Amino acid sequence: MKKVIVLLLTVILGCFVVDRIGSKICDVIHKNSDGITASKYSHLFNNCDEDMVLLGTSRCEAHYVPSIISDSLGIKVYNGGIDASDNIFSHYSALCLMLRHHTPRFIGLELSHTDFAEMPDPFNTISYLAPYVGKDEEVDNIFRIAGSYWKYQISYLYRYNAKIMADLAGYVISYKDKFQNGYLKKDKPTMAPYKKDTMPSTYPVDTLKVRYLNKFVTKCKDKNIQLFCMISPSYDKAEATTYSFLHDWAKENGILLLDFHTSGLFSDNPEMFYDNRHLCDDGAARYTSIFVHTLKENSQKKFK
Amino acid sequence: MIFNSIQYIIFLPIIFLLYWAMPHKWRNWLLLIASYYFYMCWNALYAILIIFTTISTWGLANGMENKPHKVRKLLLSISIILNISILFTFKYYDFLMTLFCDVAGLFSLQITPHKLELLLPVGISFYTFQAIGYSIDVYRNDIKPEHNLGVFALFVSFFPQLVAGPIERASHLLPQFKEQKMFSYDLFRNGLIIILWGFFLKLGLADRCAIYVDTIYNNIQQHNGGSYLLASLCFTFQIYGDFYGYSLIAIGSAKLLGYDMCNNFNRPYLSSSISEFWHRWHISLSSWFRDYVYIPLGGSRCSSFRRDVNLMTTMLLSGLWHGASLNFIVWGGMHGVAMCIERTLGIAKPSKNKLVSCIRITTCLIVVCFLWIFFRADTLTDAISIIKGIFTDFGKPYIVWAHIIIIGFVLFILAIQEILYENGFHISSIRNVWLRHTTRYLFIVLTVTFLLLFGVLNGDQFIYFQF
Repeated sequence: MKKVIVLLLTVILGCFVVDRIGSKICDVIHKNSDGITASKYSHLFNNCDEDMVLLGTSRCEAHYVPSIISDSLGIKVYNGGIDASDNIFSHYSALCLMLRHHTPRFIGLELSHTDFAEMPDPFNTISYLAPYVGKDEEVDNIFRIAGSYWKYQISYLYRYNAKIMADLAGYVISYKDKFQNGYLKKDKPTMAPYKKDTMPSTYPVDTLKVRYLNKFVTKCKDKNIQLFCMISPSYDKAEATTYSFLHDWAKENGILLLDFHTSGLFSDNPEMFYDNRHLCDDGAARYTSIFVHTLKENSQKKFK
Repeated sequence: MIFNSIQYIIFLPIIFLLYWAMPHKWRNWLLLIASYYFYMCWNALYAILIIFTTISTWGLANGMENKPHKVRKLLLSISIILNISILFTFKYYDFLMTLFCDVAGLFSLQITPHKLELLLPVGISFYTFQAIGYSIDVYRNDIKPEHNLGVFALFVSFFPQLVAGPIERASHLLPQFKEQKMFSYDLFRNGLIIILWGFFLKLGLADRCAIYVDTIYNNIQQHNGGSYLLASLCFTFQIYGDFYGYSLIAIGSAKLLGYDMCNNFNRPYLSSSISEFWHRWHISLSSWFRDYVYIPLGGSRCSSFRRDVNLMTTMLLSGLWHGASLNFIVWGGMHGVAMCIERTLGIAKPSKNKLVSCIRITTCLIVVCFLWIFFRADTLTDAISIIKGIFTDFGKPYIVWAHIIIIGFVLFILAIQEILYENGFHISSIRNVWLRHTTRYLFIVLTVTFLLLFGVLNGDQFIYFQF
């Protein structure tokens, strides 16, 4: 039995040492990587100094051209949309981590049904933010609710699980150069939209997500940030009531919500789309112009 | 409870400590309770099926003892019918009913299938076949019936192999439950390393491949032939890593408790023919079909036509064993056809010529990979669309480089391991004691590190659980 104990203790100690040293190395790699997600997080959480920051998913990332908004409003804009960060928990975490060093004057939050509706895995892809566990209590709380916080406390290396390859790839292919202030253009509609689907007319509401939507609003109000929300075009058709919950919620909280999906913008223009959910570069440029014009018309606050 | 879950990581050490701390006479009871707990964590009610299988098989096998041949045959028939009936009801009834109605539809007869829609009990095919194998062995007088119901119940439900095999033979496993086990450090260490290697294959290879494979196979209309081909290749490694990984965790877990279980894989993708592949892939199942189906049908000691019929019957049944779907029947049938062709051409046995051998290994791998399409696709129509796509719509595949690099790295490690193994190198062959220990520790620590960084640790099911 003595041998067994020696074996187990040696292995546990060895794993612990490698885990802690390895995580330090991974942290350095992550911070300096020009990978698709790492470079964006790095800018948002460390170097962001723009007046307006847009947060959301890949739809946000591919739909808003910052230079068009900047030219129109005369302010600096950063597109902080992150691929696969498809729920309000990710957006709220990004907000908390960004506010630790920078408070923008305006925040645009791109919303979708995944931000309020019940989903089989509500914390899907939240693990992208695992390298930031321990940096902000609010973010840690989300991981606690998701049930993964303790795993990241036992193993620091696990925080970089599956991310390290993308971070390393960032040293070979730099996304820093591909992003235009956070906007990632989708070159041409090679994957033309497929058969048009219709989204459900209603979704069961996830109360936890609603709590975090409200927390997002409160956080912005506390920091005197003007928040506006938008739902950008999609090739799939939205029913008149698909986003009813978000409209009611925005009204209740006095937030401007620009819904271009329900209104059917570009719904008859498949050439504007990269796929069913994303605009291609041409579509994004045209949409951004329409968006910024509508924003100016509807916003009560001056942008300059 | 599945092997790649936190519950199992807690469960196994507790059972291990209790087992070795307990006097010998209580150990089987501990294992029996642990095994039922293990199964009931999935579905408590379905443990009744295992109890029924256990009691009926045990009772009928004991009834065969010292009885005339006719009575023995009758009892064996009852035992097989009972076991197959349960399997049929839960696994095949709905499928055959739908198939029947579809066929009737071809003759303009509109029949609505009355489906049972029962939840398929995990591991039912495995423990049913193990029980049937035991009955046949008793009938043939290959083994004596087990009089102790507790020991027999443990044989049917032993948790490391309960839900996905290996399908153990009574002559191999039953005597081990009666031996007085002494704790061995070497067995413990080897068991631990085998478990770790199993996790490496499951979490590092299979589940990583699964992410890509599922992306393509679950959205086939959105991808092209290039993606289908890459996904099919990935599935070839996914199913290997998944099932071999499971088998290793099962073997390693049993080893920690002092039990030896049969090896289920022997480098199957290095087979030079489909016949050889089936001697190396899921060995416990293919040897089961060989001993209890193929040989009783007449085996190969008959005319070549009869041999081919026997082979096709066995392989079609093997396909059907995997799942109640036309895909699996076609998959099994095509393996059977390939084996018949090999035997007719006289290329079923390995060649001594290295070049010929190399060509045959490559060809065999391509055929196996191709046939896995039927295994993985959701429907036969999907499988045909994928094959059609590979040949008619070949384009630049959708690639997620991070996954591909990790998969490539794991395959590289496996290749290195194979080369070392082929040349007779293993850690215990290192003469210097310090170096040997250091290498072992390093292996364990590096594997754990790899899994933390690249393993898919979200507790995905094992593919073979569905069978």
